[in-house]
Amino acid sequence: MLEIAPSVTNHQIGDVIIEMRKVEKSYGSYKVLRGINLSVSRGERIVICGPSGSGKSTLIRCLNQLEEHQAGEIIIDGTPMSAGARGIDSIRREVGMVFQSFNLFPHLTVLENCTLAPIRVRGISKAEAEATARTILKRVHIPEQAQKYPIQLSGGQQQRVAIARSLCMSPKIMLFDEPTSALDPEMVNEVLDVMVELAESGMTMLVVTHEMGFASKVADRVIFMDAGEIVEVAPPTEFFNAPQSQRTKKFLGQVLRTQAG
Amino acid sequence: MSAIQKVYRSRGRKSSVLRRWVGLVVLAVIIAFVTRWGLLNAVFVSPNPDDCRAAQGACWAVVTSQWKLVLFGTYPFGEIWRPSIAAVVLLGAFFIPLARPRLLILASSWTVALVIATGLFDGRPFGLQYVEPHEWGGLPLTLLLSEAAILLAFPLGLALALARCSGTVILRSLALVLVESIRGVPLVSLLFFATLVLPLFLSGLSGLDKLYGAAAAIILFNAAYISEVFRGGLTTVPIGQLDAAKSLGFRWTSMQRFIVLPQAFRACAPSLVNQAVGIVKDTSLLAVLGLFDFMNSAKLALVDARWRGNFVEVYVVVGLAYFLMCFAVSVLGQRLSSSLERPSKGDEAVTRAPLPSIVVAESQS
Repeated sequence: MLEIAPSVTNHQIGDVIIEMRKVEKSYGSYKVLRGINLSVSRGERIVICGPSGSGKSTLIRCLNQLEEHQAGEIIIDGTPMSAGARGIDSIRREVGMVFQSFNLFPHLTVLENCTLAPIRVRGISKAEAEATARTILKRVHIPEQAQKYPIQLSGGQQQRVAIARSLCMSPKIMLFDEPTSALDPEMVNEVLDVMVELAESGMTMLVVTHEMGFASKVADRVIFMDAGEIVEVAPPTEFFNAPQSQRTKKFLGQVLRTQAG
Repeated sequence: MSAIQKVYRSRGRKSSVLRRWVGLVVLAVIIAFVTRWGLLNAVFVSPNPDDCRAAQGACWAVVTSQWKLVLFGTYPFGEIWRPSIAAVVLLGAFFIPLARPRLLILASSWTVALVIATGLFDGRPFGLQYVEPHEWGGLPLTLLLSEAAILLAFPLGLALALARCSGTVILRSLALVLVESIRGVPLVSLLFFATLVLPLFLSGLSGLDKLYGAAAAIILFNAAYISEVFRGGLTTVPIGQLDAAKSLGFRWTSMQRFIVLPQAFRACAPSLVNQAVGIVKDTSLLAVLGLFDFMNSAKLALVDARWRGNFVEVYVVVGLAYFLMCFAVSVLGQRLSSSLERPSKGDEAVTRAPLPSIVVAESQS
């Protein structure tokens, strides 16, 4: 059985920063999200899991409007998400996102990847942006790679640069969309370690992942999604030891078996 | 190595030695003929065509004795110092971005040069005698038109490509209709349409000289092709790049400028250079409108019945001149596109990108 030992617990949870009310999203006639209600507090760490096609990626992509929702309300840090293009840009600045396939800018060095948005979007001076970037690259343990191009790095290093790139915008919320799914097994931990450290620093995090070890260690709440609905929300101890729904039990049975083996 | 491979290898070696010798002999014969015809037996300067007939070689005198016609076409002879200076200015501006290959430097130096050159041709901005555009001609005109068309067709093509990839249906369909209708017509008919038909319908254009209409047709025609090249480049940028840019808060314009276009440019640079070279040669189609670009001006040297037999020499000179111009454009294009490729630091993975073009170049030679 998985060891449930929440090691990162002593942190402050503040006011509500994300509010989703009856959010619906469909591609044509196919409903991806069927009335999602979720509220996340400042500093909270949420892990979202569920079978593929359950809508977990769509859910977090709706939070920074990479996908538009069709019905319901999303309020980020007091700003409703339907506030027109300008409003969405300003919210995106505050919401960092890390993708499964890294999506680093291949024509820019690691340092430039980290400074482009602070300089061009936030209007920070180059010197200041570079200083910040170097500090953050140190935080993700790759300060020596600053002058390299993404293609020269390993997958794990690329994903850590992607995390650094988001952090350079000093976001209030970080979204992770299966950050370790495209990595070779031996590189998964170096990325998860960085994410744990980030969690310890008090960042509000929503993480879509199948890494149940990470979930049990870091999450304040684990959300299980299936067929576009939130089936179960619980703190990790409850979630893993006493899941309520039949669907959760079945999913956990499958995931934990493969991860143990 | 198998026996069959050995046989092929040794055969290949023998035949390559043989081929090299045959090649050298053929080359020597060609060089001998060209030097004898073009240099040793040639007549370089002579006002009299009969001197050429007496000689065995080339008659460059057809060009040198009528250099004003060949170089300046129908431009008033008394004023040919103006297009001469214009040509120097245009050439100067051409070489500036060759030394510092930056798009911004190219755009600004060419714009300045084009304004000065047009002013000199026209005359009025400098308080000189007005020469109507349809009288402009020769090599300076070809330089003027080439630089103007390259400078304007590329931004227009880029705008059309961006419009065609945009989310707005109206923009997208407008660009589609424009590109497809221009691309579906030969340039010659577009030239006639712009200079003869359009002024009939738009009275505002009736006073405009046909040279401007022709220039507009060349620019539009090439912009349509360039937009498709750019579109090809844009589609190579993965959708994840847009996701990443948006998630960092980039607006559309800065996302295109800093993330999408640099990657798209790199993907389609060779085809873009192709288009630029094509523009230079497209300017020679002005002849169908009775305008005297360099090609058509050079043909004026054959109007005199006494020189008519020396058309080979005229076309050799014209061909060499076009080759030099196109080669220069191609070199500039390569300088610009390689300035987009950042220098790699050690890792072979980065140098992988430019490799295919080298391989292609070798296999073609």
